Amino acid sequence: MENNKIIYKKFCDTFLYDAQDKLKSAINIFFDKDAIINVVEPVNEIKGKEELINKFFLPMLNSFPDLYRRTDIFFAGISKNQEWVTSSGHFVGTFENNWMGIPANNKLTYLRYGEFHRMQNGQAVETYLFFDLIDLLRQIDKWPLITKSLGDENFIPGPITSEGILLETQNLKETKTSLVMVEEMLKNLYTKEQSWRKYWHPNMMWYGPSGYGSYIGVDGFARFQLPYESVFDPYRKSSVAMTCEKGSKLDLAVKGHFVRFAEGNFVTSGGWPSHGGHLCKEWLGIQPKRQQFTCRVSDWWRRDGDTLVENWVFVDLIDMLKQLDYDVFKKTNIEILIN
Amino acid sequence: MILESKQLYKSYLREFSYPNETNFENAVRNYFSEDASINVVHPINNIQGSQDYIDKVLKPMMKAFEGLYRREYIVIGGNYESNDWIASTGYFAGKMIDDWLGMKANNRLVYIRVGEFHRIVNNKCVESYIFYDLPELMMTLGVWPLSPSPGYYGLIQGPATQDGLVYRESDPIESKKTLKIVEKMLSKLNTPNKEWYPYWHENMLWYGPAGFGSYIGIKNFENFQVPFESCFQGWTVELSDNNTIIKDFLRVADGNYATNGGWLSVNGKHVKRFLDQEPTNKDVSMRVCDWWRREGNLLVENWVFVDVPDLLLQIDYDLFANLK
Repeated sequence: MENNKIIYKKFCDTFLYDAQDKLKSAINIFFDKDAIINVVEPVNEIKGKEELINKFFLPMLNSFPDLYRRTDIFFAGISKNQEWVTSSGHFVGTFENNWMGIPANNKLTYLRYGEFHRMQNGQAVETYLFFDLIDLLRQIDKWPLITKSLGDENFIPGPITSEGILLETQNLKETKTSLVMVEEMLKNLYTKEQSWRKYWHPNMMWYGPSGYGSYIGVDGFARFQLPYESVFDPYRKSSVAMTCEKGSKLDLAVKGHFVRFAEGNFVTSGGWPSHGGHLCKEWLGIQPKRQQFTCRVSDWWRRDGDTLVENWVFVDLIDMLKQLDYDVFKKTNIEILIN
Repeated sequence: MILESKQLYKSYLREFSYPNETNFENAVRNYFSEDASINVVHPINNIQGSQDYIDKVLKPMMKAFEGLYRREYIVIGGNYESNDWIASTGYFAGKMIDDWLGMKANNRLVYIRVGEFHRIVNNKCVESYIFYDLPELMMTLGVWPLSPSPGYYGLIQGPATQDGLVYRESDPIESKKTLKIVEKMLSKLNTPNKEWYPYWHENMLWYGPAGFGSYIGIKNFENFQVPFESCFQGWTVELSDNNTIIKDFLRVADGNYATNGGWLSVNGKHVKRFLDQEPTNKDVSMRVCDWWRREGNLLVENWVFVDVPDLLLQIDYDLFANLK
């Protein structure tokens, strides 16, 4: 596992300062030839490292020639008996040329990312890449949603402590405490008594995807979370709760989490998709017509003592909205071009 | 000595890490001397002593921002002309629930960028310079009345390496190296052949104050900096408008990091349109500060504050009177 971290850190650092020259070789070293790579809408599935280079990273480098990558959170762990590494942070570069049809603004631009790699023999064999493309559209002044965000829409910072990059082996007891706390909190989501509250610091930070926004304080978070919990009927929320029929289309569409592990004070979880339901209330300005939709989600948490204090979240809203018959790119007059 | 001062500052900051309305006043009284000279950006300006700092600066802030706390990403220290100094930068975060300095609350999470410098004598802070990027907050709130900056605007991140909290002792050889590169680079600013170029990584990041914007890469930085310099004829550092020399109050390095601060530092005559203001031919002096991060032989990141509202006031534009 420590070896995986060394390999992954080397890969991450390749993007510092000189991605142009070293990107190809870094991807060739890090990824297995046949790695299954899942990327958020509109990229979706990529098969193998060749395709990852040609279809994804080379166009990205062309659009952001001075691209580099900044890691805010970095750790590793075991989930379902498999070895995983994860990181989250930003790509940053001058957005000089259109990317996948998204128009360049010629300014310093951030692309928020979160990723997971299942490691085998020192290589990534299964990967999930989250990017916040709505946040990119926001930065180029093309807000693609019907509604305004209820939260703060801004660059999302890393851990308050600057201690999110875990290169050293962490205390196993702390790791376990963190994981148990998150699992307990998750079990208590979607409960009438809101019994998830006690797991959080009252002044917690919730860094949501662009469109949902960021909040400070457990009440601020509740203002977003509680209405969200009520838009599904029937629903299947990970393995926690389900009101749809077993074996129904919805039940089969929701996969729960593909990964969940902790290291030290940090915990992560990802679902592809993690939950879903039929839309029964207006959400993000979309009218409810019982459309079935699912959500690709990932989370990173930081624990401080007895409570969770920070939570970084991705939701593939573009994929979710597509299932609700709303195309964010059409709305912003962007024709997506992926070769 | 400097390690002690750093520890002092660390304990002070701890009281601001999560909201703790009962303890922050004590923390301020313990940290600052009763008659400390505290200089804060416009429109706060001069504050005398810890009690005034509590009453005139922090209490109104605590009232306007619910759950207010601090998040530093650089804390360094050093000795400058026989004085111990601490310098830090990062953000305040809180939910803005009440108006502050004439800015209307938006009832959301907001961030306030902060950079500050403290001179420590006998375990007390006796002199401070505190920068807030108030234009950045104005932009967040949608009340910035001037044109948007030509570069990136938004939250400014900490060091790429996440190692800016330097509470330990740094290798003096590394510190010296950093200081030397910064001083050489500064001495070559505003030279005809861009002699400052070789001190920077080609893909450097320049995090400017809101209104100026942030840039990646030395060429993009140059495309901003050169026209900016040309707005102020006779651009000099360390010379005030009545020709008395005012030295920058601080220049130190700590490991790979360095900082510099001047309270009236960059000087020149306003001869070209700047931030929508037609030339006034007035002499201006700026309150500015910088943090740099070095990697190897090159500077790779640079965080900058300019007291833009104070600068605008010198050329007859009162930002606070014109908020949208």
